[in-house]
Amino acid sequence: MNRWITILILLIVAAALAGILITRMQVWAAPPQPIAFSHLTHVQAGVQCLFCHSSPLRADIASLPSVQKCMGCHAMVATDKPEVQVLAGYWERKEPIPWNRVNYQPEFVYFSHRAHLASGLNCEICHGDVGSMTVAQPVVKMDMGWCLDCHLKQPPEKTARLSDCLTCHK
Amino acid sequence: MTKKLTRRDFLKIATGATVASGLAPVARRIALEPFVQPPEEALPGQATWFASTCRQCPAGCGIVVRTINGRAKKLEGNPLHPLNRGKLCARGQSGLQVLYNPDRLKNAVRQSGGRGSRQFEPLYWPQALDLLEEKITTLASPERLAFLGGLMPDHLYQIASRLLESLGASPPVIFDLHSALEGRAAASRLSELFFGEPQLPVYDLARADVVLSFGANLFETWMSPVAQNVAFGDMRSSASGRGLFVQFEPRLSTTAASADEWVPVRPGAEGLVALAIGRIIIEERLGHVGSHRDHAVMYQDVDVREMSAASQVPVETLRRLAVAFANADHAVSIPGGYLAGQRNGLASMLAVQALNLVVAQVGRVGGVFLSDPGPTASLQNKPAVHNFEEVLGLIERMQAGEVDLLFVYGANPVFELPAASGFAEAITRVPYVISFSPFVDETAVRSDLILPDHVYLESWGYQVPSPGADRPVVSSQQPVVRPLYDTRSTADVLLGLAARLEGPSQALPWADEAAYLEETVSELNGSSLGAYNARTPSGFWALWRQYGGWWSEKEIRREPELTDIRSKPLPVSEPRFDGDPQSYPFILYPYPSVALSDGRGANQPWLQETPDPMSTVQWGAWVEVNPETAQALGLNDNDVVRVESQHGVLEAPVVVYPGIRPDVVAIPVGQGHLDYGRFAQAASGSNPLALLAPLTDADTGGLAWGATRVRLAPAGRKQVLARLESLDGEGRESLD
Amino acid sequence: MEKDANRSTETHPRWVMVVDLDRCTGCQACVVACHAENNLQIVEEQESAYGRWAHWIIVQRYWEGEYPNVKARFMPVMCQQCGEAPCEPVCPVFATYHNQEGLNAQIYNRCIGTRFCASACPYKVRVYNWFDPVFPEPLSEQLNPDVTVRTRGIIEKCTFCIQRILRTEIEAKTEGRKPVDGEIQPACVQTCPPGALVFGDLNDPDSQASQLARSHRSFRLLPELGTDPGVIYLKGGETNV
Repeated sequence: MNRWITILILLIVAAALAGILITRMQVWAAPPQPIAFSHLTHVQAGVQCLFCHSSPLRADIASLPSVQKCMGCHAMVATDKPEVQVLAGYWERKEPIPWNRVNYQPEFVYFSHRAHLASGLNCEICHGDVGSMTVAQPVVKMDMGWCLDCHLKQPPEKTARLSDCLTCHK
Repeated sequence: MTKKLTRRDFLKIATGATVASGLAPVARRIALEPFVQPPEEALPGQATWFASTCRQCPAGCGIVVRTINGRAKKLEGNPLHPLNRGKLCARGQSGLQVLYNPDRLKNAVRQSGGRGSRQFEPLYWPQALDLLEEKITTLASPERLAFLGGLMPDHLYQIASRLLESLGASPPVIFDLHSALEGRAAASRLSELFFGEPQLPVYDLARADVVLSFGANLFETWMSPVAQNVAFGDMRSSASGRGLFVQFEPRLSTTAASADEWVPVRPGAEGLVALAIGRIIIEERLGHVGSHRDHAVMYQDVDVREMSAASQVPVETLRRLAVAFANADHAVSIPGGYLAGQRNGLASMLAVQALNLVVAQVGRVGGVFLSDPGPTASLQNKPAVHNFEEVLGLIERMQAGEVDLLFVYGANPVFELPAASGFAEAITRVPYVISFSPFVDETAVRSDLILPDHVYLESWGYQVPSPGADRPVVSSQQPVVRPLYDTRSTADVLLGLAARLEGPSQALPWADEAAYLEETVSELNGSSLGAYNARTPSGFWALWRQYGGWWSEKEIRREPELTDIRSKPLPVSEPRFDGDPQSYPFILYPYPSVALSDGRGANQPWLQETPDPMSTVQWGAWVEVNPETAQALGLNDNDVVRVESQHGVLEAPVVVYPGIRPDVVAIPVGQGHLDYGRFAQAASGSNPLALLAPLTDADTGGLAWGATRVRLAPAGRKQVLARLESLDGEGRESLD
Repeated sequence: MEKDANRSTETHPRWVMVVDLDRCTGCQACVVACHAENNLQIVEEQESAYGRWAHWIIVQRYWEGEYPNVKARFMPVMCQQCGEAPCEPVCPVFATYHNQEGLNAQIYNRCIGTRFCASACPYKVRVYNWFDPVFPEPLSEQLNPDVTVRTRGIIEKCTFCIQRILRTEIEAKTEGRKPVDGEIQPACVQTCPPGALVFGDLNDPDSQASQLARSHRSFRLLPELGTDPGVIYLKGGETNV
């Protein structure tokens, strides 16, 4: 009887661990994208983060570049590449590109890029060295604990605000 | 513990569940779609505000709309607009559920399965316009074309009338139930008789000390409710004191709840009360006596005791109120929509307006004045709403087979007209009916072709508010989002049609609605009165849209010029009702609901969820019965009662209502939709217009919607209403 | 324990709402504005009849007297943001607590739906989501991105439009100042046509809300319970003059 119970408990724990590990791996993995966009190529070409992701200084979201912005260069640059041709196809059909989200927060979390950029943070601090990625992927699981790891290093006057859940969970 | 579950099964289930729960937060694919071509004026995620005009009722309040990424998110009142000053009512706030309503038509459609089949075949617009052109050109004569309009923007009326004129057809007949319930046509006629012009007057509540309101639901749906609410707030906080506000009507309405006193007058006898008060003021030389001698002739046929008996208001009450009214520094008397709904409507309204004369408040602070149209006069070319009699005339023509082609815009006559007026039968005699409704309502479902207009948040336009404000003002309208569907502005449809026909193309040379508007409103540029001016017409057009209209920098009120109305005795006219008092002991009061107005709000779930202020009921309709009457009939709250008139019958649950005369029952208008979308159809309730006799006020031709008698009988069952309040056994909450 | 309204040494605002019952006309504009701003779910007729309606602000109507000497009075009621809130100590997971600006916070992702708070609330202003919200397309396009859309099993209530408070405070901060009196307006306050609702900082003695709170007409609901509400009512039937 005891043996059965021990095996049962071990099985449950193992299954739970497996489940957690599998899902973490899925979260850490790079999601498939409709166009094989490489940040590395573009950063090497000299494009700054804020050129494409233009909103974070003034809005809460970072935003993705519009198809028009991509075509601003790619109407002429690298038009022989197959991926650029896929891009051109979207432009011709006036279709938005269905990118898959790489970094996201649950719906009940309100994160403001603007506030963070305004305090002088740069993109790499949270998003990692995106400039060397050929495929965009998250570098860290951005859960609340991770946010707090940084925020708790701030002086007490600043962290006081964070003790109010409403600041991020309104 | 079931015996059937073995240990094996249990292990399987438990393990599976655990693994599954461990796997639960499987990474979801969230698609992010950027703009193809971003708008120039906004960043993604940032809000842009556009100014426009609300069209949920005829008032014409200015709104500003918060849009994010091309979606409209919130409506607010335009803080710059002189009419509503940044405020917006319940119906105005609900406008986004008109724009994003799931039951909107997405294309022009033909009802291919025949009228009433609800089988719609989508058409391409060129096809639809071809069809429209064909129908017009194959008419035997232009008189066989009829246009029935309801709530219609000013510019569209101008385009439609010009088109009809150039075709040789009669001008549009304008009738909608909301305007009938607020007595708009009658009020216009009253202005003609008193001030020599049909313009609706403005009652200066904000600066009044004593307000006598006769059946005017100032804070609900009557005329300009937001502006009236704003003024009331000012009145209550005024430095000269909170004022005295008295409401005369047979039912204690939401407006009466804010009054200092409610006088339960016999239905239709409000004018008699006003006559008595006027007579007392003059006889007893109350207040500012200067002009009393001049006005005495108006009251020569008035006997105060008779008026008191006829209205069932004690003489002491009449006298007390007369004293307060006459002695006030600033008093005003307001003739409301309920008066116009009686067969003696005009006579009552004359008596009420005359009180303003008696206390010398015409054109004075805190009294009644006319709006000065200023340079907006040329824009306001729409006549006041037509009266019911003229609609009956149209119905007669339809019934006689004299109408081959009927256009319907902004009205739902099958629902809004009393069933007894025969519109639903008459429309079957019209070979081809074209509706411009964005929704499949009861009238559209009886038409052959529907050419859906954009909804107001997707539309261009302007409106000169009527009644106006304390200065010349015209409200502008612009699309705040790109039209969601393949609908088309009716003004553009008519202009497109005109372009194809010889005569009309001369009369209407504009390529589209926006061109027409730009040209028309540019007249306002350069006026010395304006709050802004521009150096170029395109600059003006930009400012016009950004401000949300054009208005005068300063207050400009106009003192009305009086006609010779005071040189004649005022008519003393008793109310008359349909049905004899023995068989039908109660008088029916169908009142417009704050949320649904005349029923047009029924397809918006926010409005259906809005509790009625007095009964707190959501989603339904009910019959309000005086407590004594209810007891006598053996009725309690939620008992279903059968209400029957000579023309129709309906059943509805009872709300025992302390604030209503024992001989009156009230039913809110707006429910009982059989079409018009899922939310309108989901709500319980019947349309009280089914009970109405198609009577008119002989003087105005207006629908006498308050003149029908009914009888009640318990139906023998209960229906629980969705009330906010709980019924504590006594039937009402108390503050104790 | 009464909190002193005039402690100007406080560095945090205490947000309060003043409801002038002499001005409220029962028009229900506040009710619809709140639904529009806060992504409230649609509750249809039968569920509403069961009492499961979802309103964060309601206008209560009281009858006084008997026909013909009958009066009706309106009283808008929303979460009173009590200084000594009975709902806060009873939550087993601390999903509701008092923040430094005087608001009673409700954190949706922490709530597990025991409904103890709704039972404890003497004003009965807490609403429970009995069902997942359904917004038939394209009604969902209207949803406010600044406010969480709550699933079933979660309690919600008036937040004094915290999203507007936060947004205005952040914007003011980027301009290097504090919000001025009247700059923050919850949806109901902004739309109220007779101007019956006023929102402001009770800790600022010059704010309009503070001034109105000092009126001889002011009262709070159920004061004997000691909840120290953040909503101050002004009695109807008299003015300040």
